[in-house]
Amino acid sequence: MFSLLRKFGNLTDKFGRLRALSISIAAFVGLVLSGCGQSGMNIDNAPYVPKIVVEGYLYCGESVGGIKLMRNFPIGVPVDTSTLYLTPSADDVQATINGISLSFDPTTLTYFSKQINVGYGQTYTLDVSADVDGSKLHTTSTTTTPLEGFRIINKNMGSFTYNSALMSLTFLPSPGTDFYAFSIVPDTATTANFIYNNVFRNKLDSADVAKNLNDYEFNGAIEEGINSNAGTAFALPIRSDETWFYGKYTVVGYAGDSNFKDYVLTAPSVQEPDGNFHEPILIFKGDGIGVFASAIADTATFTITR
Amino acid sequence: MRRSRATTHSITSLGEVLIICLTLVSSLSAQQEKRATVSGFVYDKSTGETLIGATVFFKGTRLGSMTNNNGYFVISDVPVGEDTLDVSYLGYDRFMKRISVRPGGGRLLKISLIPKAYTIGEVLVTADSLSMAERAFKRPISTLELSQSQVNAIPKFIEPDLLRALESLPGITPISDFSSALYIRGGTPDQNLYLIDGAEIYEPEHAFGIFSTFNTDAIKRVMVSKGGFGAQYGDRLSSVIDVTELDGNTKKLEANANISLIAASATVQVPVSSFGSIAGSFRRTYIDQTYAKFIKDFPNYYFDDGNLTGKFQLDDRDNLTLSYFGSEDNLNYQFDKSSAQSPILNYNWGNNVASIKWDHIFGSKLLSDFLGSYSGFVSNFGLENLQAFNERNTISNYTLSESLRYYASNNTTLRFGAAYQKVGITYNLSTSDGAINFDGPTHKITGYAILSWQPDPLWDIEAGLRFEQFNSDKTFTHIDPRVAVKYRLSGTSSLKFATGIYHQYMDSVDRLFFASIWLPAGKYIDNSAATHFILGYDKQLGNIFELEANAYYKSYSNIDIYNQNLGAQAVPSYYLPNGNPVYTSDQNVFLNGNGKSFGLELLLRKDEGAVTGWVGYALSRTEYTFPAINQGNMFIPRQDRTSVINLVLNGDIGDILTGKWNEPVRKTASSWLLGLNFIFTTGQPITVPASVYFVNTLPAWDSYGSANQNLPNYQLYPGPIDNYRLPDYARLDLSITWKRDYGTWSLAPYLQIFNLGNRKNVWFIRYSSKSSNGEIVQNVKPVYMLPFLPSIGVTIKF
Repeated sequence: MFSLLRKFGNLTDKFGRLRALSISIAAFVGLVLSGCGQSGMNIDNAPYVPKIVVEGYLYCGESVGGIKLMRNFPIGVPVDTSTLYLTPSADDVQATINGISLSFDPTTLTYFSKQINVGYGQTYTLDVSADVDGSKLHTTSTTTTPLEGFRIINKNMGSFTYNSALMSLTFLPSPGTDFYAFSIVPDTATTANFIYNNVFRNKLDSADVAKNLNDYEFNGAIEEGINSNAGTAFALPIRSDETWFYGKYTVVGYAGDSNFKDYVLTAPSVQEPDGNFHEPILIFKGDGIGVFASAIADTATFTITR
Repeated sequence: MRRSRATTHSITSLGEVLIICLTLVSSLSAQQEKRATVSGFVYDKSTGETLIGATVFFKGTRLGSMTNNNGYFVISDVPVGEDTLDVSYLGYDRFMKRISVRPGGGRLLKISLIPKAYTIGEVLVTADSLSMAERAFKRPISTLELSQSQVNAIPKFIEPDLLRALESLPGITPISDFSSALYIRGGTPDQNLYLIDGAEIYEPEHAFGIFSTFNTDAIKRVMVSKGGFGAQYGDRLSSVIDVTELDGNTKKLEANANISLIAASATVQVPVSSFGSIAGSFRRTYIDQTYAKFIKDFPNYYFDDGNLTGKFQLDDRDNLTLSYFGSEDNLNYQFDKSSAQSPILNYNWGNNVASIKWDHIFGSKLLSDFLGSYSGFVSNFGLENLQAFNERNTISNYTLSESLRYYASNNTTLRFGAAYQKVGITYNLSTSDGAINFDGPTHKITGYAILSWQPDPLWDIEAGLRFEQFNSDKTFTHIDPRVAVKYRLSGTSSLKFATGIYHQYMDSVDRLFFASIWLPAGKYIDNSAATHFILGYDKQLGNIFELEANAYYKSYSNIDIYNQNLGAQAVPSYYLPNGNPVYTSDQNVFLNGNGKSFGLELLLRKDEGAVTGWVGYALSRTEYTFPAINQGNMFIPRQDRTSVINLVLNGDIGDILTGKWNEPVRKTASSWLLGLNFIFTTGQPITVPASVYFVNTLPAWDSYGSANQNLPNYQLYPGPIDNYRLPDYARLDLSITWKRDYGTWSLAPYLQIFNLGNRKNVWFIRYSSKSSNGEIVQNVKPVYMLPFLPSIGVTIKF
């Protein structure tokens, strides 16, 4: 190899300038071509593993209901929404909470049990088995409900002008529960009542808004890590980036257990700023993903006037 | 795992080793009385700058030395009589002079070398085989050195950039086009020790990580050790990047200026009387005064950096160097400039590094380097008109160090030193929902001893011990052995081996486009450790090429990765009166695990002749095992690249095209210079989602998606960590410079093209979905890195 390199070093002496010029140009063209084009991509072979997907919340003081059992799908393939929900008849679903079987409501495609009235500070274990893609899957998840205490104090917050610093919700926490999530959604969200002269993007037209209406419509706020044992009330300011429409808003607050917290804080943000993914914290044993959590819910309203 | 707790016994053992070494050195020294010592400095004749790494030998013998960072050399055990001293340095005329060596010696020589391009029209000699082979042998294993001209010759990404230039070397890779952070042999950027004139620097990057803070016009030399570094360096697991700034021209006023599309810079070197010089450099971007004025929504942003170095020769034996380096970034961005109420984002960060260095020569055999330095970093991030959000991150490092080098004989050198560092780290974040107040004062005491011994001309053995005691809210103490052995296989080839244990006591939370946050080891973060094994082979091929091959294995224990789910796992330390939490500890910030890197690197360099450059190839693999990641299974981290090919070529276009690659450098009044930089890497590992599922983020959002075709409740579930590889990366950069010399000044307009082939290299993958006719259609799109990007500029020198 070394002798070859030496020969290369003496290239010009042996073959003359013309040959050297040809080789130089050919090498350059080769380099340019190597650095050209579009790198091919195929992620169809990303390893898909079938899972039981759970979206289940237990609310203290209510019976068990609205539990969705679904399946996941491979990336990049069209999803037939009629196969999204797992049903007892099609997928051999068996679901229990603390050993009590859940019933299936074919209208809402959800599971419920009138026998279980969810209490404060109680532990509930969901156990589900189902056939997905020909595999018999099984999962369990346990939630401990918050203690009694959470409530929104100013349920009718009042009317405000846009970007008012006075918009604030006050709530009392549940002892021992340090995570609170608030859904802030306008009762009506259309391009007609959108706040076009907002402080963020005032050049939007109705077509831009219509394209991303959901993103403007559904907003949330989180209070976490707070001292819930002091017995003091907390103020949650409603900010201008959470209100994009004129009109009445409904705020639903949740005092969530640790499963609720882990899901909300980790599952929707698995893609990092540089595009890579990491694992969320999903509290399931076996073949389950999603959320099985408990909460105390309360509601408030406010209005943004023109 | 080689962490150990300090005990009285182990400290005593270190003392015993030092005493044994000193006794050995003294006895060896006593045998040398009949011989003489020759010592002195080697300078650049045109500027008066000392030359680092020049080889100084007595002709026809292996009796010689290499200049150190101060340009100083010592040759002991020189037989009394007349002999010819042969001095050479890359890019300079070889110097030979007959000198008379008298018993005892003690005479300080001052040798000035003439740069090759200094004399117009002359045909200059090329380096002789001895100097090239000796240069390779003297160089520590896995160590590369680049001069300012070599760094500047590599095609630039808009601005000259030291760190991006280093990415063209095998074993050194970036994570993407948008970052200049270096991943060296599988290590992460926080495992690299950055030194500027001996002072440590923590955030070597500007502009959201895109540009580095080092102004290449102010650099004299950069040394990169990719592993196996000696006991004089510590507190990092992977590598050392040691930047030496220009001393300044002691002969005449020298200046140059550079203007590019985004920045202007100037460097001035001024002699001070007959005993010193001052060199200053300043660079500032001006996009805030140009693009931001005319382009809507363009952020008001600029960065600047500068340095000032004064070097003064107090007498023949004392040199004093005062050095300052500073950098600053400022961003002000208003979401809607027409609205006074619109939120404003303010972000500024910067380094301030100052050092004082006093070099003293005791006799001719004992050298002392005293260094006092301060290195500070501050970043402030804030929002106005939205909610209370202010982040402040500071690092302050005060260092006092003393290094001694004793040339006991021509084949025995002892180096030893000690340092004290006080490092303070603060991180404060205040929001309407709570605060983070982290304050991490630390102290570090280090000491080292290195014995270099050449039992015969074929062998060069270096054995060192490094003592480190790091105190934060916990004390860590270690003694790390380091060994390096070199063996001459022939006159043109050598074999090298190095091994060592390394510890690190600080880790950084790396944030894309934002300054990293450093955290010290302590109660919740254990120190990290690594063990290096490196085998190297150097071969000189004729008088043209130099081949370097390195195989390495590096194991890591207790290394840290930022916990991406920290938000759900942070534990409040106490509460504010309003009940909001305050976090003061670094608990759960990192996930902890072990790993290893191994690989093979080949580098073929051509440093002499009309056309210079190198071809590099690296084959490597890095594996991590973290209990909390990938379900405890091994995974390949993102910095892993199986294969990397680098090609760098610089020279006169005419010489390149006509094949005059090996002819001597000639200086002409006008020339067209070409620079090429090609890189190919295997695609980087990335975690991709293995499946999609549909669960609302909040229970009340059940009607989400009903308004239009979007499906906001679309959630992605990741597959095995970093189990997928992005497509291979390739890029060719080109620079064309027309250089015109007008005698007392020169002009060099240039064109730089980044990604000449406009290759669409994938950065990451974006996912979205829409529902249509009872089907959910998923959309998977690659997001590409930087496209074809030309830039122009001009350099003026006088």
